[in-house]
Amino acid sequence: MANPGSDAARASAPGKGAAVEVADVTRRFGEHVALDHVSVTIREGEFFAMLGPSGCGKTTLLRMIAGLDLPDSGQIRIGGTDASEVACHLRPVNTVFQSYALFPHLSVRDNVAFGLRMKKVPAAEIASRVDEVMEMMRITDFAARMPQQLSGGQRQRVALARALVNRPKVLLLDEPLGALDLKLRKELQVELLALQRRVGITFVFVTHDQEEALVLSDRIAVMRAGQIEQVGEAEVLYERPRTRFVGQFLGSCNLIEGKVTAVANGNLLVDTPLGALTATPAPDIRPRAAGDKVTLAIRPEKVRVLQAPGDGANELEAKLTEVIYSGSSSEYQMLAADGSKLKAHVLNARSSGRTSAHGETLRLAFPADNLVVLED
Amino acid sequence: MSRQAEVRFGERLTWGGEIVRALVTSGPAIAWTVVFLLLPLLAIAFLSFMTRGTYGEWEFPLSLGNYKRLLGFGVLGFDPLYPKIIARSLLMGAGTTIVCILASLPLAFFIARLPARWKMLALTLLIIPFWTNLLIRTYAWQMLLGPDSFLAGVSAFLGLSEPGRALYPGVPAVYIGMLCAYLPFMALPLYAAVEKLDWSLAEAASDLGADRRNMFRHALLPQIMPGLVAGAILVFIPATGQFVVPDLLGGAKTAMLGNAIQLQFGPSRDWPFGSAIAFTGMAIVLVGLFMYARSSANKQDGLI
Repeated sequence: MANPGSDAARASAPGKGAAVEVADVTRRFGEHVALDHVSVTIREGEFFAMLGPSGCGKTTLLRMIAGLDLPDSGQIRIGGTDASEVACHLRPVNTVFQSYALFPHLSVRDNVAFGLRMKKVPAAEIASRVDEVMEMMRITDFAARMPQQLSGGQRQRVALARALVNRPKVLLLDEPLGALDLKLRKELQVELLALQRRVGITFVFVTHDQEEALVLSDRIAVMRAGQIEQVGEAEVLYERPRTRFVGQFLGSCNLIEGKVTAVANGNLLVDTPLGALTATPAPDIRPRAAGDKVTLAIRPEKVRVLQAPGDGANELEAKLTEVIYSGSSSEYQMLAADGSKLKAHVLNARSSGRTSAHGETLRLAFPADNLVVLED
Repeated sequence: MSRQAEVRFGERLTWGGEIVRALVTSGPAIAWTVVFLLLPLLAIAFLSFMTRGTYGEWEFPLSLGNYKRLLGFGVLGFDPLYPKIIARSLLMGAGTTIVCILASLPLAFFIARLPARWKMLALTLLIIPFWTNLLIRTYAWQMLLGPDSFLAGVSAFLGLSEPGRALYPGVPAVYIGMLCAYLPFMALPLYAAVEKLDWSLAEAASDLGADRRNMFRHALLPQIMPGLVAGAILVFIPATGQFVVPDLLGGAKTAMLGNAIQLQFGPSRDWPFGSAIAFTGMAIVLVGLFMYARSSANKQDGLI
């Protein structure tokens, strides 16, 4: 096996588990707390995303794993070893920087070879490993060019090659696609995913783009104000957000506040301004009793617009105020009887047929198992 | 092929229009350069081939005599007096440049990392000595390095010199004076380069396994190279012609390029020979600069 992942795979052979463990890490910049007692475990070989708005601490955490910054308290373990005392240049991780940070005075080839030269790898081995990685990243054709002669997408590939050639245990990517235009971004997302599967290296990447995180990651940590709000598989995070923040940051959602009136068969009966709603809480959610205040969330695409009255359960009426057409689907913006705003995404599956008009009163249904009971 | 009139700022420029514009905008600078730089240079070049008359006037015929004398082939046989002077001056220039680089590097990084309001103060402090005449500053160093001075005391205490003796004349004193005279010419361009360093390259280098030394060499040095070169040129050229500082702090025992020229134009009244010395010194520096420009232009070609 001669792929760049082989070193990492060998190194991790005993006890395949955690690639990176972040244990109770805190970091302050003056008054500002960038990371507040953060703990998270990144598994061997997974594509892990740290997602959050700017200033949430995601980049700080990434830099700490790289060794470019040090925690005030807490510990970071890489491959089971405490990395606190390991200087940046000795850590078995490599980073793809947001700005790529390619050396402008070195050719593409020399950029890629840089890490191996620093590690005093024999010249023949450098040559073959560099060739191999450049082949894999399809940058062999411009090996002799200088970074400023490359397009954004090409630079991105060079930055990846420069990191991967070192066969790190963990590859860190700081908003790797942030500087590219949408179309190229989509292409590179697919490429990045295929690459990760191929080399088998643990990828940890930072992004503020929720869609990118959903597309790429095995697991996502949603961060906010120096803390991790929720960690989980992309689908779980999207379908079962635990907090308002996660629900709203990862896609959009309708929030409905109410009070539990009864608990029956594991379902919560909630009295809301929209009427009585039944919701099925996730099993791992904090149990609620009658009288508790709760917030319910439902994704716009889970809201059903009924053509004919259904069985009456979890149904309500709302007035259509705006239809935003976006090709494959349309967003209906509606006003409920109590004045709260609701959104529904309706697939434009049929090319013709009845479309709803402004001012029309629509009948909506919220399926009970799509009504998510939030923690906060 | 007919030349398309160029459109600039929404105006279509004709040939004539462009010439008028060029004259109005760059004319004064060109005139200045020609009158005060190019013509005197040509005059010196021409003068250097003439001969000294009996009373110090310059005469024909044109000859290479001055240059032969400069190379050491005088009437009394071979004596490399002037090659030595030139070499000594170049060495002085190179030494000063190196001392200035060594002092400026930490200084530039230090100032660049200061908070904004301290930066201005630091830069001002760096420049303030320049409000004083070089001669006065150099005499001041004589006092500071004098037999009863604090520095002499410290030096004696450390066993570096005998108690009660001045620290000048001597080579260290000359370099202290030269450093004081030329430091800002190196420190300011270097500071400007350090100020706009892209530190992400340093992080990338560390991330890729470079230790501190390699990080500096491969990530920072290439970035500050233009500032370093600019500073080196600004220091090296005047330092090569400097003779006041070596005279006052070095004991006036040896001639430098500067006083050799001054001697010829002054007491010796041999303008043609003085011109030859001046022109040779300038030519050596220019050839050096040209070679540097060529080598960096070659690198630039690689980029395109």
